[in-house]
Amino acid sequence: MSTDGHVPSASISSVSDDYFEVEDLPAPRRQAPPAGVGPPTEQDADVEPDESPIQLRRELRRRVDNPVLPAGGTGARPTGSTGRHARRDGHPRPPRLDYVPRHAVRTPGPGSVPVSPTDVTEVFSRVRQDPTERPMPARPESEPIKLTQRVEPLLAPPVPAAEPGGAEPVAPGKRERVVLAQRRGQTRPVRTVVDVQELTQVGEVLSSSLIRSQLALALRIGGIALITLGSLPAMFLIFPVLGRFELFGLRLPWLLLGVLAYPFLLALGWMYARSADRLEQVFADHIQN
Amino acid sequence: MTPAAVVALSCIAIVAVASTVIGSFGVRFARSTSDFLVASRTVGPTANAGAISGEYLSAASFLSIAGSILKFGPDALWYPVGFTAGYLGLLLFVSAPLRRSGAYTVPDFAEFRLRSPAVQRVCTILVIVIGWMYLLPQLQGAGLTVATVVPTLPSWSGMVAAGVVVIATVVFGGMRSITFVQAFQFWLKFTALALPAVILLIYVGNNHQPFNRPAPPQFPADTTVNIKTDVVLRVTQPVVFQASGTLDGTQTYGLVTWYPGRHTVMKGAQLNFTAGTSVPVPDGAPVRDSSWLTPLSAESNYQLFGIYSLIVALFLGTMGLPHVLVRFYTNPDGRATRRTTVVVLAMLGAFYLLPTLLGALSRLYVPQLLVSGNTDAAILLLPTAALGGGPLPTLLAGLVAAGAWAAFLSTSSGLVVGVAGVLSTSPALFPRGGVRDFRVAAVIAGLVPLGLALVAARLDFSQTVSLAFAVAASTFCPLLVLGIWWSGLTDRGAVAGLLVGGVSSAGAVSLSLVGVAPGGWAGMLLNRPALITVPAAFLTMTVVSMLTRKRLLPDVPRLLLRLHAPERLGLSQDRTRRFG
Repeated sequence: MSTDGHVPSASISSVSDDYFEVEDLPAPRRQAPPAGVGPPTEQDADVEPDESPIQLRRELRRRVDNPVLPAGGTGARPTGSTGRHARRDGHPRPPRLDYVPRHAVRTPGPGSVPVSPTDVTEVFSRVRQDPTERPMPARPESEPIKLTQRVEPLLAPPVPAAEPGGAEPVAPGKRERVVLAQRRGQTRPVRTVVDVQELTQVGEVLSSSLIRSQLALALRIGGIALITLGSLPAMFLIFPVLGRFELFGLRLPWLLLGVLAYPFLLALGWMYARSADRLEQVFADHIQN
Repeated sequence: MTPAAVVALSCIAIVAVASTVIGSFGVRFARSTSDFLVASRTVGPTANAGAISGEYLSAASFLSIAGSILKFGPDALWYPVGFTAGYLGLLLFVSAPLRRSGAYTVPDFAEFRLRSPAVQRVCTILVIVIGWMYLLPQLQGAGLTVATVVPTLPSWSGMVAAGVVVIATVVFGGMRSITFVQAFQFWLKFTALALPAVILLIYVGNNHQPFNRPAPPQFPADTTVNIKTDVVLRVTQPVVFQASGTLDGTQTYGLVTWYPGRHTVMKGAQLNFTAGTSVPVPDGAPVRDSSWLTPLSAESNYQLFGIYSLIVALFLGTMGLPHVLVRFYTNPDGRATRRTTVVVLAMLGAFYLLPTLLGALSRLYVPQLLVSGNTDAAILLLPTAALGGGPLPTLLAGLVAAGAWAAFLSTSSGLVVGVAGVLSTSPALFPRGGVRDFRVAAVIAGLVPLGLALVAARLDFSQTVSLAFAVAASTFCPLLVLGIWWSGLTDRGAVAGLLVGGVSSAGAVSLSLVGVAPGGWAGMLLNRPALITVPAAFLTMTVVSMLTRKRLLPDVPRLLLRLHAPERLGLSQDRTRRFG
């Protein structure tokens, strides 16, 4: 489980390698959290993985301050407050170990631009607090960021990779089109988190297949139980001789219903629990890889 | 009062006082819901399974299965098989997803899945109805137990005592909060039946009359039967006995001879049979021992329908019982929930072997219960009837009585807690919803069924309990199953299905409980409505949901994913274990 915790940081740092050297980020982005990142909703205060943007901002600041630092793994991450209130206070906390970032899954949603780890739009996208909540409205402060001249050489190479399916081919020199500003012209719901959308799509396919296989398993086992036990009264009615048949000194109905039914039910239950656990295991492994 | 009565009453008193005292200790350990939850998460599958079984094994399981077997033979075996199979249904369709939803009761689940106050309200009402229906036989069973072990006490005294103990336990502590108490209750009940069963097998062995005789059972000793409710009996051989009271419509004193046919005995009669006389059996039950041994032997044309309806009700109804669902929340995660349920299957299977055995033996030793109609008392009377009146049988009888009380108390406390929890959190009744309100609600939740128990007709407990199962199967089962597995369920559909299933099944059930029992099809339908009402509820819920597809919540796939995804993906709701 915990090994998977490195997934977010890995993709974060790959983004930051290309991007975080930007020296002059607009002040609002650094100081105040974007409007989308409000206080968490009450119900699911601990479900949402929204520490990632905070983490990212902090990482970003750190790298701006100290550009020579190599892009690190989780070791460089500050681990100050891990409490429940850390988020609300604005203190960072380590990302959840079991959170798989949306951009770790490569399947794009409908209408989304294919995402690569270098896709800069990922950085400030806001993860929805509650998976059940509706998409947030557009973030007002999303404005094009003009890159300073200094960073240009750094950013230039990854640009083609950043927009492989973009509308216009980007020449190495036109960095205004490259960074962040592209959101404005697009209709796709960027700030409602492209990445969440994407997990939804993937998740929908995966989860519906999980649910279907679990349901099929449950129906199969339940069917075996109902058909086996349910056929008994009819059999006793149709073949009355069964009711008088003796086995091990017991009449067949007494033996079947009074004794054997329980191990039978137990065996079915055990089989189901094992198979269902295995299905979940496969699902979880699939998701996390 | 005889020494046997004193022993039995003392055993009952010990159990009652112990539950109250331990319950009040529980307050110190579990002050709040979250205390309860967090503490409970440390409970392993085996202990939790013991607690679930302990809460589940009620008067119906402990007393009435043996009584039904005494009366109906192998057809009654469907009760214990169904009670166990219900946990298979729960395991297959509900347990892990419900645990992952974080819902604590069915109304909570409805709120989680459909976010509709209307559904929540309907569910609340249904929880209360099912809980009270289930409480009814528990309290009546307490009354029967007291009246059986101490014949001089009226049965209402036992009901009132049980009601007071249960309410006190819940108000002063909430026994539910301590898992090990419930687990202990399971082992107490198990011992209370296992010990008599083993001793009976050792003492009696095979030295008993053969079961397979083409004749009615015989009184093993001179027996006096007091008839407490009007009864229709059937004899196939001439029976001669002393009687006083109204028999077949005429006031009778002295020697009576009954010829083959049906005979009516009115309340208050006293019948004296000598040893070896054939036992008259209640109308509808198999008369001869040999036919009692075979299935489908009752003289009814609809018994196949009845059996299938019972199977449906028990298989699908268990998942809707309020006191069962609450317990599953104490598991750490969905996987442990499944394992717990499997252990429950094992425990119930082991337990139900005992009433089966004792029920069969009671056909030989306490057949007089067939005459009085009090077959539910079979297990209570069996030890002394089979082993004589020595100190050992007296102690065994006391142990059985104590086990029966443990059965009522644990089940009733669970139910009262469940009903009171739902009552006290419903804003219409208790706007504040604090601990005080919970206590007031607990008193209401206990007093109402107590009043009902005092006035309602007493059916066999297994019958009353299966009526509650039928209502649960016709309402909560469709809601849970469709809500967990089908993304198309809408709030309108849920309400419609709940109303159709609830009104039809609860209507049939209350007619049965009031004592309106027409013969033939109608009577069978009223007594065993599940085979009709469950499909009706499923169908209504599905069709109405499809008609109101516009009301689907936009994030249903997400909700379903959360229900089914394993916890390690972090989609589940309660995370206090990791981050708390």
